Amino acid sequence: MSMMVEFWGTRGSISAPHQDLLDYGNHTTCVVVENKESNIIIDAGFGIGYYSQYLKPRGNTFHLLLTHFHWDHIQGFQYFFPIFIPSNVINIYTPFPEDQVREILDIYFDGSYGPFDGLSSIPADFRVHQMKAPVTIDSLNVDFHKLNHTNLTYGYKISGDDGTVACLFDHDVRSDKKNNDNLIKWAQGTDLVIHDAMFTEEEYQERSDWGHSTFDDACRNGVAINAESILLTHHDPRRVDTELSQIEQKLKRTMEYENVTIHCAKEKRKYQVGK
Amino acid sequence: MIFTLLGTRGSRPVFTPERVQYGGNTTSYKIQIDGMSPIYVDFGTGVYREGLNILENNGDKPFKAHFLITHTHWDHILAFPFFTPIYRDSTSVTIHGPRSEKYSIKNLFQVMHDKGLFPVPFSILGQQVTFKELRPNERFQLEDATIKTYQLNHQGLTIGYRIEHEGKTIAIITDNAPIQNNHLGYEIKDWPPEQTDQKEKEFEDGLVEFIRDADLMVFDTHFKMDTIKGKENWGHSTPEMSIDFGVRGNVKRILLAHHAPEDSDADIESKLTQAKTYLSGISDLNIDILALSEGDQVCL
Repeated sequence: MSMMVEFWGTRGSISAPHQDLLDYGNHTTCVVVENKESNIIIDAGFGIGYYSQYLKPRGNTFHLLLTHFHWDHIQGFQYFFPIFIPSNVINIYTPFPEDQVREILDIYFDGSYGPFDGLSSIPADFRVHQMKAPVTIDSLNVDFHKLNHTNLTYGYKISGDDGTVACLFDHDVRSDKKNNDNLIKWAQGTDLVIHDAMFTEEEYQERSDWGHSTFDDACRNGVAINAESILLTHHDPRRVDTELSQIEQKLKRTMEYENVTIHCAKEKRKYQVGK
Repeated sequence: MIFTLLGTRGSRPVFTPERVQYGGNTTSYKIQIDGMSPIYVDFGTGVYREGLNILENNGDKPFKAHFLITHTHWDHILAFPFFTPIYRDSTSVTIHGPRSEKYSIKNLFQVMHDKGLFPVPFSILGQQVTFKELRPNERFQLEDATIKTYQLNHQGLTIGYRIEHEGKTIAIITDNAPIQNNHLGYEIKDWPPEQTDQKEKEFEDGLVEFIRDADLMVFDTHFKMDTIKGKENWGHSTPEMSIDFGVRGNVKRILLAHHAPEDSDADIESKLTQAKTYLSGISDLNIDILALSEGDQVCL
């Protein structure tokens, strides 16, 4: 099995199920990167609950990277069934301090908001590993870089024998040019770039302070990184399938992106990384 | 009185090709009464598109509404920061609901915006959103409608609502679990063992009176009789349990609600069929048992 990326949540902001969103997906962010030996989950939006329905655990250890604490990236945690099995270990890797991760999860699992009594009432063993340098998880190497978003947010670069994938959400290409230039250097040569593409240019003009990129900004970043392919994600909850499909076709026909493969990410769909 | 189903799921929003008919949004209902502002029950994800529609259709007209919150578990409140009308100065929304053991109803909503969980701070909301704490066994007016409250058997403080207007009544009973040897709610979980039988009877009799003669009863039917086994303490009921109450309370219609995210359209169809069979086996009452799609209405 080569290295694969599977999307279980492609929406940004909110999961608001509607028939017109069925093809590209309704659930908030969750991406799984795996190869023969390793499995890493990125973010715990409602997609992680959807993933749980199909999860075939390999052992009792799970690895999760958190990009930031906005709702759409953590709200699915209580529907990740392995957390209810006492012998399970849930490793959380993130550059955020352990205290902050535990504080947020303690609020999320507070008895006011669900049938729990804080993080300590969750049976599985939560281990928070604050990343200060790249880490190796099974056979995969994981590095991080700060993104441009309204609150501190990190992107991840995951490398294995078969290739490298960079996850860049939530990220606004334009709000900090210097950091975006550094990000391009850091991600240089990545095979597959997963990039925030929430807005059209017109929408961006109205929401330039929301911390998200346009479709074209995302594609240009992918090209600048010299990626083989780009997966656009964090779809706006209002964006219907027909519109995403039209945008995707238009991007594929754009001369500027002719050397790169572009897809708008779909849920429950696997994409190969590298060879 | 018009009831609209905006969100039919419990726990979490979910949507797959097997769930297209009944929908995947979490709990939210709209109740419209001629001549008054709409009443919404809960802030599940079903209310998100309602917010978009309001901004599109209302123009510059101020939006005014009452929200009744059953309880503050995530699936019942998570769309609040994404309900766009709250960011307009001309909006006037009052949120009525129970506190938790630790926090006021206002604090519980405030947390959704703060601590880096949402990019817009709670403090940006001015007078357009106000909060009123509710307790069980209250009775009050929202314009021309009379609202009554009753504590349900679910983790924390969870409130059932009875909404009455000109002889028509809707009862909202979600989330609620069977009470026998299963004491989940705030203070309910502290019932002294020697009073258990009496307290359980009082709870059930009280709930029967609370739903008495309702034209529509919306009831938590998250589980089926086989799937609830061993999960009674998760805080939810089955269609059969809703019918037991509906028969005793002589309600006219029962809407099966708060479906589990695991339920496919076929599962919900089978719940409906089994519920109708169960009703005909225990009673001659002609109760209309409903499973609605999101957007469907019941006109009373």
